[in-house]
Amino acid sequence: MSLLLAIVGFACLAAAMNRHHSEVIGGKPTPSRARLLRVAGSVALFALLVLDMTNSGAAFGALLAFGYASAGAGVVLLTLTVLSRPRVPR
Amino acid sequence: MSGRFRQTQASLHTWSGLVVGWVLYAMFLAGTVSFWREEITRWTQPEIGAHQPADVDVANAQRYLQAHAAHAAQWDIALPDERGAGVSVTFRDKAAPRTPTMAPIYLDAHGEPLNVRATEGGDFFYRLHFDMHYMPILWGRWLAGICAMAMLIAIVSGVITHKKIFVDFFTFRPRKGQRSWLDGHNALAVLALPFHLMITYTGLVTLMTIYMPWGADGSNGSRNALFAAIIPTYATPSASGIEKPLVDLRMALGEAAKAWDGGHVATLKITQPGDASARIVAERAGSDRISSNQVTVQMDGTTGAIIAASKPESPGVLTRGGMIGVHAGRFAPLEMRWLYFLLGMAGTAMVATGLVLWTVKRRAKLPDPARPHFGFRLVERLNVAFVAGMPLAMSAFLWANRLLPHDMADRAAWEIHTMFIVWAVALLHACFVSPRKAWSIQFALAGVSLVVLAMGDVIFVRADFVWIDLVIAAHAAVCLAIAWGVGRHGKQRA
Repeated sequence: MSLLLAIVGFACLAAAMNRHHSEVIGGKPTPSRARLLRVAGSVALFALLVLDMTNSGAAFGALLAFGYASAGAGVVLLTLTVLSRPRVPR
Repeated sequence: MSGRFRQTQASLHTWSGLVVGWVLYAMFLAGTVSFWREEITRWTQPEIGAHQPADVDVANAQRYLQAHAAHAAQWDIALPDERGAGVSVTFRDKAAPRTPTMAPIYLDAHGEPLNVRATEGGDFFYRLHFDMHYMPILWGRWLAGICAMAMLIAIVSGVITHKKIFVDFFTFRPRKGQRSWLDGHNALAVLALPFHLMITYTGLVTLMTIYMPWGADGSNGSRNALFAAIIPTYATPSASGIEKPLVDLRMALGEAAKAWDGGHVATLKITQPGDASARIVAERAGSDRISSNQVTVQMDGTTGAIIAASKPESPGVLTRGGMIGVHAGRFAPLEMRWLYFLLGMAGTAMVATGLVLWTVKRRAKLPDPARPHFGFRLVERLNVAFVAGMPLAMSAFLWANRLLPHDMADRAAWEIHTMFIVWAVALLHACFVSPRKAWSIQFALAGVSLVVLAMGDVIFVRADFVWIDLVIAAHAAVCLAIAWGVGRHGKQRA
């Protein structure tokens, strides 16, 4: 669940960025869509922190949340690398 | 931020990273595998069977010590945490209570002593991480501290140098030479930045009384007085001469657990067992809490009643203990341990890609690429010998653990010598073979070595601890993939 939130959060943040939006979805995101994605991503990451801290205590949960955030961002980066590969001229 | 400032930071980043890069890589790799310290120790001691419940272990230990050391001055019982296995005991004679410590005696599930091979196990990589080897411990720790400080500088200057930290946040562009190396280095650094900052800073805190002794020297009069105030000590009465049987130590486990809200005991120290003045000191397991500070209770040895307990930590002591605890991750359950390990590997790879990037960046600008200058060749070759040679050498340590004769003299030391001999050979190999060949050969050897080791272990040695062999095999896969990648890259160029 924590990992899922981290992945969703960073995926939304990535999708709000011009480069990744055009790679995966196509075209630039409209400003309103970009804002929506950014808010959604931030909410997911904040929810990750709150979830872990309520489940495992403040200190332990914060450590766990940061660990999952890094892992989730890594998953998003690898996914984007794979998804955007065919479009990269060799 | 002005371009000029960024330029100075870029140079700072390059050189603070390069000069200590090889030692940092070794520290990162040894430290990262040390998140599996207990598991590695367990792997290197196959004579010890499965983990037993604490009360079984303690009952066995008490029965053994009662039979073999009933009149000792002191017993020490070390219980494994959930990840380890095998209770071990030592004792001190009444006649010579200050003799050097004896080798621990491990007991099996029935309380019989085991003939366990001499090995440092996971403790070796743990100590290598901050004590180095073949040098006085204090030198090793200073070297580790200098490297860690340089790492902290490299992290901060690296963040400043990185021009597009947010724009490139999720970016990795493969097969583009220098661009890809930079992307990879950045991604490994940025995505795990909280971990890198935390682990480097808290690493410095672990040894702060060596690096910055003045605060500790100033408070409480002297450093030793400070430690005495922090580390709980108890009055231990000498033998009264009145015989009185020791309480069942399982009860001591229960009492300690009650005092710690269900916490676990790591060690029991029993002074004057069998005497009316017997005392039991129980130390709490590091896996129970984040802070690394010692928590103990002292009990009456004949009744099990708690006499005294360590004081609650003051805010300063708790802060330091918490930082050390977060660094070592002894508290981390399996899920979090995997995160620690993966992030540690990201850090290791960040240092490695940084080292490689130095050569990639400069190769294009060499005046004569066929005959690069000495500095370039030195970096190129040291990179191979450390980045590829160290995993190969570490696999040799594990091989030595399995192959050296059981009763060999200085066996544990020779496991370590074997690792450094293989490492030295890797360095020589890197000096005499072209780097591209050396990269793929050494990584391929490391991969083959590890995968054969893992398979051999499951087939010939033990089948009750397979998941750690799977982790070893996963490392083998990574090494082989790198070797294959380097080999294919070489062919494309040719």
